[in-house]
Amino acid sequence: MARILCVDDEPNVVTLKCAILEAAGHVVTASTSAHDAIEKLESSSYDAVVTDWRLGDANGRTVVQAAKARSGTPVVVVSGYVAEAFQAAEPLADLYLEKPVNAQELVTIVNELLKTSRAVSRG
Amino acid sequence: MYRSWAISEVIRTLAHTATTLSYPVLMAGNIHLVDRRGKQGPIDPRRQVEISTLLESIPEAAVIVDNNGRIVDANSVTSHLVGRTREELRGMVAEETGLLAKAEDDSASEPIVQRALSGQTVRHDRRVLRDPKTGVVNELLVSANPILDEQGQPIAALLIARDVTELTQLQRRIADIERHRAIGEMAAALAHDFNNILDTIAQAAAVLETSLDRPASERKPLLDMIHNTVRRGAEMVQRIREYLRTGEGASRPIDVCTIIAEAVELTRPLWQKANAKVTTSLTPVPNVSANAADLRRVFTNLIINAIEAMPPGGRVAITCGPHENQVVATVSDTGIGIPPADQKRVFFAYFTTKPRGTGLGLSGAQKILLSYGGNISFHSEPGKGTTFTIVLPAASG
Repeated sequence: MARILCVDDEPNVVTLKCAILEAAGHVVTASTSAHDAIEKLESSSYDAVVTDWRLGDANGRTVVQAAKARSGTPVVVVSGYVAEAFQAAEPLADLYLEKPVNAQELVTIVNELLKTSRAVSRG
Repeated sequence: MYRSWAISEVIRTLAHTATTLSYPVLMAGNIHLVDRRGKQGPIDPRRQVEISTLLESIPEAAVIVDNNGRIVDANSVTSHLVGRTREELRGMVAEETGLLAKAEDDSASEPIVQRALSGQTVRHDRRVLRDPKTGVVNELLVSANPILDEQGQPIAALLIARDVTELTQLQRRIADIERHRAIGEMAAALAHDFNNILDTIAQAAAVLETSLDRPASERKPLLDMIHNTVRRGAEMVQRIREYLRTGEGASRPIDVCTIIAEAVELTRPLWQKANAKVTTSLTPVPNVSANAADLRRVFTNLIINAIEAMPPGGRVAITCGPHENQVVATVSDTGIGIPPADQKRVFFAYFTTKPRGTGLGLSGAQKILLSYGGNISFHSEPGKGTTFTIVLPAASG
């Protein structure tokens, strides 16, 4: 079980992603804007962040930066604009997934990332 | 009663009509034949030779009709176009040649011959010529001038029909290219939108899979989400289809505000990709008489232009409201503006500042609006942005 912050400006999408990650046994916090996500990252700690790239108020870069600034939390960017995200974020995030994302794939990737980051922090 | 019919008058009329069609007319020198004849009397053979020579020198179908609307003479281009010899044409009622048939949706035009015979000049009236045997349709632009006697009374009329079938087809093809180009520009953004739709459906299905043992009340919202998302996708496809439909067909009462809302939705992927904000302020307006596909194209083009004129994060504001007996819509951007040197060429066909532009978007928009009795104008401040204003007359009734 891990604490995950899930960000997408589309409420339906964030609800679904939360449900998928919760079904995989994680505790998930939903956020629908970059501004809100950064506030949450500053006030609480998370084991991983799953974020969209194009958020209503800003792009995902600010979220990736905020997550990385705090103890290098692993970040997965899920977007229809992966190429753009990859270029703009100067591969800051750990992984970029192109939409549409298969639910099982998302869970597997998040679990793998958590395993790696835990191994690193323990190591 | 006898009337003088001066050949010089025919020449002047020929020259005048032909000049409006941008064709030079060979002027035979030293012709001052004055012929005296009855209105319906036989034609002087000498004068007929002169008139025939003049008519033959015109590279378009040219016909002279008397004030009963019967053909006095016609050139060989006319013979070829209507499939009748000159001898057959002489004495025929002009309408019977088929040269003056109206386009089906053209209810506004009056009989051309009658207008010319009442002293009016007719310019570029759009007509269609159907070959009854082959079914081939030729599109014509017909001009007509009255031929006046010495007292200035119309006694005959000169008709010139220009076959614009090929030109019209070419213009349609260019309009098609322009329409598809806009969709091409939006293709990447549209693909992204589709992926978002598929993403939502895939994940809702995945969540449903894990909640098969949950009560129906918990599964219902997921099913609703799938249905709504599918509807959103279908609407998107519908909008693209509507957009790609040609602008042909009859005018109908159209709500400009609805058209604007559709154009905003159609271009949504594009402006979201550009991180632009599009706001609309739409006040209920009377209907206008137009073709929906045409107007949709105008607004879609204006929105695309506005987005392309702006650095990322710009704003496009669209308004629509009634003003006197008109519908006035504006599309404003916070873009780079149009340099003063380019401003007077904005509506020129083939003028573009975009690397892949065709320069037909705004000229096409202007053409469409003018055809509905409307207009388009703009105000631009370099560095601040541009506002395009569209005015359309409210439909009567």
